[in-house]
Amino acid sequence: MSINIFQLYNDEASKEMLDPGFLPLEIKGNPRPDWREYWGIRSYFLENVLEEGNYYGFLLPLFKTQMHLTAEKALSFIEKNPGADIYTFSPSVVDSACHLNVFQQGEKSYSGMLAIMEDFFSRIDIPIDFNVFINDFRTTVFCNYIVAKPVFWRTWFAITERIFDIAEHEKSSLNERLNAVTKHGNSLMQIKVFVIERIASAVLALTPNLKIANYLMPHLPRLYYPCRDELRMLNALKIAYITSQREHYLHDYFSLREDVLSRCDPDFRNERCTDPK
Amino acid sequence: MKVNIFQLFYDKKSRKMLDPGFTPLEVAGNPRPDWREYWAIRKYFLRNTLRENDYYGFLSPLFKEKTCLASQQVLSFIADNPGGDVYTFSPWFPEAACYLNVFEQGNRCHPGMIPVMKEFLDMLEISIDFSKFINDFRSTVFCNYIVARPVFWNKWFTITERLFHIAERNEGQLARLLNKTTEYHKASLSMKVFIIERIASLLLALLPELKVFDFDIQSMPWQANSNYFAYRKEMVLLNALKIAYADSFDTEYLRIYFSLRTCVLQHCDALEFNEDYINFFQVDESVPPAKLDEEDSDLLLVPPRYENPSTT
Repeated sequence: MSINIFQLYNDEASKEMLDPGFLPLEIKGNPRPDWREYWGIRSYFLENVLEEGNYYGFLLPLFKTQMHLTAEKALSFIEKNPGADIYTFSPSVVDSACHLNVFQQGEKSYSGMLAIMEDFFSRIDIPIDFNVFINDFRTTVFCNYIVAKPVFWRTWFAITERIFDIAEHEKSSLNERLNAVTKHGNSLMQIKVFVIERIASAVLALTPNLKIANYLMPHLPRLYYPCRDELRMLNALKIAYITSQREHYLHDYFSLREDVLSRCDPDFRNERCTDPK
Repeated sequence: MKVNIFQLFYDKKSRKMLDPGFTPLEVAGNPRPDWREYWAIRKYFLRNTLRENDYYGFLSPLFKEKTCLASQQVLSFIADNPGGDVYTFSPWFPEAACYLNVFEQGNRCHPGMIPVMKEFLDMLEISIDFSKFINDFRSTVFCNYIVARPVFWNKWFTITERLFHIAERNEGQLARLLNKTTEYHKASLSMKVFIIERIASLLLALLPELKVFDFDIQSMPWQANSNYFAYRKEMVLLNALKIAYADSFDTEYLRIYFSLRTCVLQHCDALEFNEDYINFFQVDESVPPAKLDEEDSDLLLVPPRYENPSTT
């Protein structure tokens, strides 16, 4: 069993950011920057045969900055939690706790994402009701910070390649919407990048038989610190809903979430002030 | 597939309380009131062969009073949720939410229960850390209000019979503790009765593969202490925290659970929330039992005694 954690880079600046404890993986010439890291992962999967018992991960150069984790600590987490199919290192506890799933979270930043996801999943005969679809801490993954066995990556790649095909070759409304440009911080990116980023979370939630070990980020944004226990409570209510399918847990989740956001998120408060609904 | 739900009775008074939709089961002569309903369940299991796909349940005469459920509702719940191994109809929402497990709750009401339970489980080579053992709403059952297939009852009966024989032989420290009387409301009962009552919850937690349908405990009648009513949301959250811990083994959930639980008990447990305790795993025998706010009429309904009990 070997653990192959690659860290992607495409120029000198990103090369300098790499952690020597990971394996550098160059996206040579960065021919398709519109696909961001997916291009690097895709090339790797198309050019290599994965070994069943091995682990594979593809991290961004920003991993250490986002996760406050060195390669040594990440590997140590894996060693201390042996036997999982998947190890996740997701940087935002708040985004995970305060949204029912990564797609609702995505919709907030990238309007239209939910409709794209619904259309896409219907297309592949996986009907999902995103109003009750749950990503808890374990199944929330941002930035594709995953180290997993092929049992996970195969499913993931089968789905992402469908997205790739639609976005690359199809003449359809879905194609147009996947390729639509959206703002991301100061840059412009195509929405397909954020869709691909969320497929891991969908796969993890849809395959509960996979054994996941989740590294929970100990760092919280300062504004949320007073509500650190409530963030856990939100996650607990999501797990209770998954386990029991009783809707009252969702009602309690939304009620507590409103309370947390009112206390910790100035934007949420402002929105409430301008929109009394 | 047949659903056999028996309702026990001892005399004319308890017979009058029966729901005609259940099958009456007389505890003729009530020869061993010290075992309460276990005597009748035991007798049934010893004299009958259970059918693998049939369901069996043994309810006390006070089932309706404690759960507000008529037989028709029980049977409908089972019919509406086909394929379960176990159906539970447990009352007492606060007791299920505000204690990590039924043994912590038991140890508060019957100090010394956990050491007895530990000794018994050691004998069965079952190792349990009660300070991390979870009974959520799915696996909490009071009063043996269970309807289940033999896949559950066979295991239950194996364990309860071990306890029965230890108590009956009345040799050694464990037997002495099992037969020792514990005060409960106005009734005096042996510890064995309260332990037997908790074996179902033990098994349901230990056997997550059993498909359990638990009748919504939130719809059960409130006890006299209605303080808890204002804390319904918190109690649902307590249950969610237990589920999250059982799912992740992340002890942060336990820390938050005990913190919130303490807050709920301080507000609601008007009689005697003992602030010396963060939890109730170590309440020893010398401590007087906590009094609940409602007298448990099932226990006060002392069945008529036709023969002298021989064990205590």
